[in-house]
Amino acid sequence: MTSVTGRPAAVAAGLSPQPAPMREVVEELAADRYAGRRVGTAGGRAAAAWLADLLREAGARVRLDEFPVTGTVREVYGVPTLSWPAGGTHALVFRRDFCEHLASADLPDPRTGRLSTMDDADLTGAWVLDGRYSPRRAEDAVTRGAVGILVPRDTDAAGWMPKMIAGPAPVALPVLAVRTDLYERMRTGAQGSTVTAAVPVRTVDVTGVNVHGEFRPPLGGLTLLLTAHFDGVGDDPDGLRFPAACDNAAGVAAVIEAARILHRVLPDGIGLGVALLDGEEAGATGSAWHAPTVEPGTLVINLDGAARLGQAAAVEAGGPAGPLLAALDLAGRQTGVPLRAQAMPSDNRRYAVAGLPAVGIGMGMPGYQTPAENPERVEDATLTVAARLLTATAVNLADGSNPRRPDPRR
Amino acid sequence: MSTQATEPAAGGFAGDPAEAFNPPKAGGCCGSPATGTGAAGGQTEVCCGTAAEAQASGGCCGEAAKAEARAAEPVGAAPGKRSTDSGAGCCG
Repeated sequence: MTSVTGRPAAVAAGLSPQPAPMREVVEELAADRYAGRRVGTAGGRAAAAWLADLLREAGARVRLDEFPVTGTVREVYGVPTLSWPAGGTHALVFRRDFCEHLASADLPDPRTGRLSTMDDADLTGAWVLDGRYSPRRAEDAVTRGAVGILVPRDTDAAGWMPKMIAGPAPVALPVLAVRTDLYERMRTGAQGSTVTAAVPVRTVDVTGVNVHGEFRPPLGGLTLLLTAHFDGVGDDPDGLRFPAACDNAAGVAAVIEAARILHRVLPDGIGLGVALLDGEEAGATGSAWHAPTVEPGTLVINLDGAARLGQAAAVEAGGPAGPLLAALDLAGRQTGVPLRAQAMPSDNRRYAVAGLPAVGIGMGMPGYQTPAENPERVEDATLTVAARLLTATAVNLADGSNPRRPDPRR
Repeated sequence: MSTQATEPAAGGFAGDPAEAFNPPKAGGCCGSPATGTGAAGGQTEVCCGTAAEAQASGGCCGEAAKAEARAAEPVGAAPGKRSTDSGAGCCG
């Protein structure tokens, strides 16, 4: 049995995270009026304004910081269509049977072509089935006269194709991802039949906005920055909703709750700030904008996903984060939260690249970037342990009561 | 600030916490979790690479994916302006 020295001061002081205010944040951010909170949309800006008010009420000095997002956001501006009469289904269902591929060229009007494969000698006028898609192969298909590309894609357990808004660079042909079993039916024995498809997708330049809350000004000593992104991938043009409750309204809720507690229990002289970041779904652009401006030495804890803990919280560390990681480890043992080294490709990487000690923590995203990612998928218990873990980590750092020696190489 | 109580716990890292500096490779982009092989139709597997690759390239993603993203970088970005440096894809 492991012995743990120390208890989080917040717990000792009777200050435990409360699920109710966190639940309110999740419900609010997932509401219809924010339309999925994609960066650069009215819904995203409204969410930022609401969060700014919330931080002010919590006692923070709040600042909004706009930034450009150029050449990154892929916007589906109409509903893509795909029909395959020979398959017995004239109109396939967007995001169930097929979806846009992020590398797709814009194809606003339906285009009909026969089904073919890259092995065929003549691709002129064909929609090419290609299970080994790459930009180079797409270029080859263009050269050979193809009119579009179809690639296979799996769905999640609920039958959805998760939506993303940033990815590989666009190619010169429209590209659709087709559900794998359907793709296989097209590939085996259906070649020569025709499909008709439209892919109204474009790249848009937008303005994002980060929400910064300073609870305690940095005074030259230990300064903590808690971060979580509030943006989502946005609703579809046909009204299909993407509430983004787990990724990452839940993380935002837990970070704010932790900050409220820490504001009351941290000793004087310790800086505490919160950054609620925009544009994470568009390549972590909000943190890329912010990270270079952060005071060197600031300890960054990023929470991305706090909906369903499962067996362990995922943790990735970067920058000179040895002491921070050790404090997190201790906090995990104090609070009973198992931790596991696992990639967290999120805003924490931007801060690490800027030379800051940074850890990224993930506690689950059920329904990830689908309409099923609603507030009901967010567990109160996970919200609570997430806020508790953040609080305990911060208190441990403040204590300096860390029994594990940080690796001096970090 | 803390008391000095000793209490049992099952949390924390089961192994060496330093493994978090080089965790197993992710299947997702910045902004997506490890979604598993093939789940995104080849859209994300190329994006990020390992955390170490991302660190080495000074961004969110590995160098190869970054180069691919930048191949389609829009021209005319304002010089000298602080940039999100996001490339045309997910890779910064």
